This record gives sequence, C-alpha cells and structure tokens, in this order.
Amino acid sequence: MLVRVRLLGSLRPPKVRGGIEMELPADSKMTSLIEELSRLYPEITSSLHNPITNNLIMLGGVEVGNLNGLDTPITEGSEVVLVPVTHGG
Amino acid sequence: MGTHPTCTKCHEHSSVYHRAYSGERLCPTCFKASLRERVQGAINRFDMLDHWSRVAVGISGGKDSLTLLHILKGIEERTHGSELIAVTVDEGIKGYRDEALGIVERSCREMGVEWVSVNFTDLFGYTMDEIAASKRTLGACSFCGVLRRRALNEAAKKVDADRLATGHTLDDIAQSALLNLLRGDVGKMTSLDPGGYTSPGFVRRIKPLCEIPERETTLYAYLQGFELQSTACPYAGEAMREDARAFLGEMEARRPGTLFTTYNTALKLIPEATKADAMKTCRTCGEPSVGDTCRVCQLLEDRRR
Repeated sequence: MLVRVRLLGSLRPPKVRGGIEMELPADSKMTSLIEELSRLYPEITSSLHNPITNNLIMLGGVEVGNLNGLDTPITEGSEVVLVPVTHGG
Repeated sequence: MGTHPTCTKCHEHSSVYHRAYSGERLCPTCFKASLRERVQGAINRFDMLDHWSRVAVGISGGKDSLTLLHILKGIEERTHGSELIAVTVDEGIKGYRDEALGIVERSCREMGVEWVSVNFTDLFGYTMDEIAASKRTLGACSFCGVLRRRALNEAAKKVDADRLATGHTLDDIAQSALLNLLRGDVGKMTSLDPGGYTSPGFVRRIKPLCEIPERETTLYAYLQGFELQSTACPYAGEAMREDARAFLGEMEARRPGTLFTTYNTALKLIPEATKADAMKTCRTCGEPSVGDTCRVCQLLEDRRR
C-alpha cells in the first residue's frame, strides 16, 4: 500500500523536497513505517530513536499517542507527518 | 486506526492529542486554548507583567520562541496592553543561524511585531564559529549560553524593555534543575525562577512557557503552521544537557508527570535570599555579576590567552 510521509524541520533529509511516497506491506503498523524511514534515510536514524518521545507522529492529523502509539495500524493512502520535538527551541 | 475519542474539554470535536500526564484528550482548538490559558496563569501567578510593560521577547527562530511570541501577542492584545518587541541574538553560527534569522524576520512580519537583532561580533568581538574553532577547555555550549544571556540582556536594554521574555519550556527548566543537582550547584536554582527578579543593569527575565512541555510547543507550532528550522546547531551535541534531556524524556514517557514534579521541586529549592542581594558589579565591564568578575569577562579573557 502507498503512504505519504512528510518530515518536518530537522528531520527532513537535505535531498528530500516536499513529501515522500512510501510503499509498505498491507496491515503495516507505525513501527514498520519508522523502521523503513530509518533504512531509507540513515542520516535521521538517531532522531528516530525513541520515535514517540523525540517526535510528534501525526497520522491523518492525529498524534499517535492519542491512538495506539507505534502499534497504530496504517491504511492505504494515509498521510503521516513527523515533527521533531527535541530540536530547535 | 484504534481509538479516536472526543475532546474531553468541549465534548464536541474529535481529539488529536492525548495529554498523558493529565489524562485529557484534546481537539486542536481546545489544545491551543489550554496552552494560552496556562501561559496566562503562569504570568498571573508569578506576577510576570505589569500593565503597559514593554517586553523584549527573545526569538531564536525555533518552535518554542515562535510559540511564545504568538501566545504573548494574543494575550497582550486582549489584556495587559503591553508592547512586544522581538529580539534575536545572532551568534555567528554559519548555516544554522542564517536560516533562523530568515524565519524570525518572516514570522515577526506576519505577526506584526517589531524586530531587533544583536550579534556576538559587535558585542564580544568574535563569532561563535571563531570561539568554537579556538583552543578551549569549556564546551561550545557553555560559552554560547553565557554570551547569549548577556547579549539578550543588551538587546532588551537597547529597546528600553522592562521585561525580557524567553521561550524556556517546562523541559528546559526541569533539565536545568537536574543539571544543577548533578553539578552540586543548588545556588543556581535562583535563575530558574519563572518570574525572574529585578536587579540594577539587569532586565527582569520572565519565562511564560515555564509550565508548557516542549512536546506541546511543538504541537502548537505544527497546528499554527509555523515554519520549522531544518538545520540543527552544529555544537548542540556537546552539551551535558542532552543527557539530561534524554533521561527526563524517557522518565516522562514511562512515568507521565515527571517533568512537572521536577519543575515543582526546583521551585521549592529556589533560595529566596540569594536573589537580587547576591548580585555585584563586574570590575571589568560593569555589568551585573555574581562574582567580582562576570562569567562573560572570564570566558573572553580565557579566549584571549
């Protein structure tokens, strides 16, 4: 399934402009998306360590702490936005 | 997609955020309103502002200070009638500060707030990049923190402000409290007082975001659509603060409310007697100082050797 991801602030890799479209297996959860992002963009791996503590992860405009955290299922066409918490005060 | 309950404040709209330390689930409107109310509450409780205060607001271009400026602008338009002037310190960190200055300029224009900047070269004779490149015994963040504090005070004096509002969040204060304890420097708890204090030559510093977790300034900035800085400070990793941040972040995730408990403990440890009375005048530059020579002059002298 196709998912659209936006990485904001210091999470955005220099070569990325705008959003990213990612292909994930059906029935993927948020944790799989974070792992895939780490694999695709090693330069942001350290920021994705403790992903929920260090970032706001918005799924369809809802922060995943308000859903099921990293176990939140992702569906076809979902939009995920990651906003770094621990940088840029 | 799991549970997606209704806002626990308005009982009308869908919630987007779970505030683990209070159990609230909030919609965007109630979330932003709750931040404004909490900032207003802190301003009142710590008696931060007078009617018609002239407030210099320290703006770095990061999410915390932009959130501070936006909330203060809204509060002050409705209540105190204070005047806000944004002030920025350009430390001379290539790439990092250049991007931030652009964000500050655009944000202040959009919010309709006057903006003034000062820089390290004019005030101290060196850029932060020059200091970082030189032989030194202290970490770059130690230099930068001391010089930034002085520079912000100078900027606030330059615009005739009687208050200097900074974007220190609950996390910042809790981290500083923990660092003070780890370093055995309980006397430094004084500087954590959110309401600040008045001393000759020193513009009273206030921390209106003292009870707002950084996670929530981030969400506010995101919901408001603020431009977020993409470049990280190249010297940030050097600070011991990063360890304190990681530890408290993990504790907060496992035991929600840890940040507030740490903050409340710090408030109890602020030694009343050491506030204004402890300040002397630096024999080198004449600025307020805890010792005979201020920390800025000590560091710059160390840099010249």
